[in-house]
Amino acid sequence: MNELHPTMATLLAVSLEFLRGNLLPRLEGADAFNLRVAANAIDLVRRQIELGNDARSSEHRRLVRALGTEGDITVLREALCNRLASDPDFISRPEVQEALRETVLDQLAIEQPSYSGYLAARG
Amino acid sequence: MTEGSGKVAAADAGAGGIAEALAPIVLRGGLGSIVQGSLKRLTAGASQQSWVFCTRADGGERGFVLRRMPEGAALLDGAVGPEREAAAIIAAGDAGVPVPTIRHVLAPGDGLGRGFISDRVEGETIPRKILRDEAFAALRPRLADECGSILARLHGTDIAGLDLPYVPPRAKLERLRGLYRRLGVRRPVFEAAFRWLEDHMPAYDPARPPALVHGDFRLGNLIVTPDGVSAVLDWEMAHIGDPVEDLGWLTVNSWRFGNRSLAVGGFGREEQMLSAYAAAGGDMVPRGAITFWRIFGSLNWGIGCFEMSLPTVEAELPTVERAMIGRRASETEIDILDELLELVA
Repeated sequence: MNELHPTMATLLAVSLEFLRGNLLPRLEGADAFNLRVAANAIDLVRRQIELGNDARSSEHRRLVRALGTEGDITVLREALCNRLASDPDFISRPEVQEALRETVLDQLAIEQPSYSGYLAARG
Repeated sequence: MTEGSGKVAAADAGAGGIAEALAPIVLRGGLGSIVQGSLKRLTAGASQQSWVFCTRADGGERGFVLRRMPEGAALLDGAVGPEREAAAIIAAGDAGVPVPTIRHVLAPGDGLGRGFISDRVEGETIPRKILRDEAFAALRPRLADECGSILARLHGTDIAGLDLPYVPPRAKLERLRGLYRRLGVRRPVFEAAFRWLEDHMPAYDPARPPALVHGDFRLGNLIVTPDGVSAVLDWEMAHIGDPVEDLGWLTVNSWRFGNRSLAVGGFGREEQMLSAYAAAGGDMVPRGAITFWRIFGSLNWGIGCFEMSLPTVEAELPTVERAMIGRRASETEIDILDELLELVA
């Protein structure tokens, strides 16, 4: 067996089911609000486990194309920041636009997949 | 809720102490005596505490709100503090803006920290209810007009006696950049937004003098009844500056609460708001000026999301609510890109 069972995904799913399906209906006011937010946080972590690696490698690939140079992802991110801050025309390049837009959308798929701006782009 | 009641909810911890300190202030102010057990903490308001309570006087009951910052609590970046916030509310009220009447501004001797007591205004503040409930269906088509005319009055407020900071667009942008740098996060979209905003600063127009700016005028900070807006709340970001800032902020996608196609607050069109604004004495506003402040607004909220999610001096960990707000910065990034990529195309 190359994965421990139950998987992380299963453990998170059953925990969420208990919090949202079982506990939440019995709470009210601030407790209900905070529990809902906490469950959303766990759900976000679940999506990050599921989608995070792919999102990161796609981001890396786009950064290399946008900047025309290889390198560590954090170094390339920093380089993109510096370039966008200093050069107002850099954002006009299609490969830069793709690096920005697709990376933000991948991040929204993890963080806020029900956001109107995400649904309009990928819904 | 008194200390002896034994049923103090977790969020209401400390209610006993607050009720005790509040009682003599309320009595001295001629507001009546606090109804036992009526003091409750509201969950809304991430940066300040809001409490509601009732008093009994002359046979009737009245509702009040206490806004307070605990002793030593830090202000959010750009916040003016409750004393100046109260002064702005009073001045705007004089100009015809619906506001809750201020009854008392806390002094150090009151033992409650900083803050103020105001009347409790009845109505709904929850954006999704205002945008979706049947009770507001008849109001929604004219809510953008109403916001336009309220903002015209707000921007016409006499600012002579107000001790508020003057923050013109460039200073506003630099202050936001300062906060962004202090937070120590870097995001490519935010860098691009700073670049664009700096290159497209609104020109100073002597015909449009600096005015009182609310700084956070949107659903969530408006008390709404089926008849219209009954109070404008949360004046902590009030300042003197470019009035178009408020108009742009109200069109930020984050404040459309899912109704993306209705630019003004998720309930109306920009043209509607602007013509009502002009009809009520506001200046004609060029479209480009709104765009500047909408992009600024998304950037401001995105950076604010990070700010709120970071540990504070009081606690090493943020609350779960604040922590999750940090993961909403990406929402503003797609909104900024939707605007910017069209503008640079």
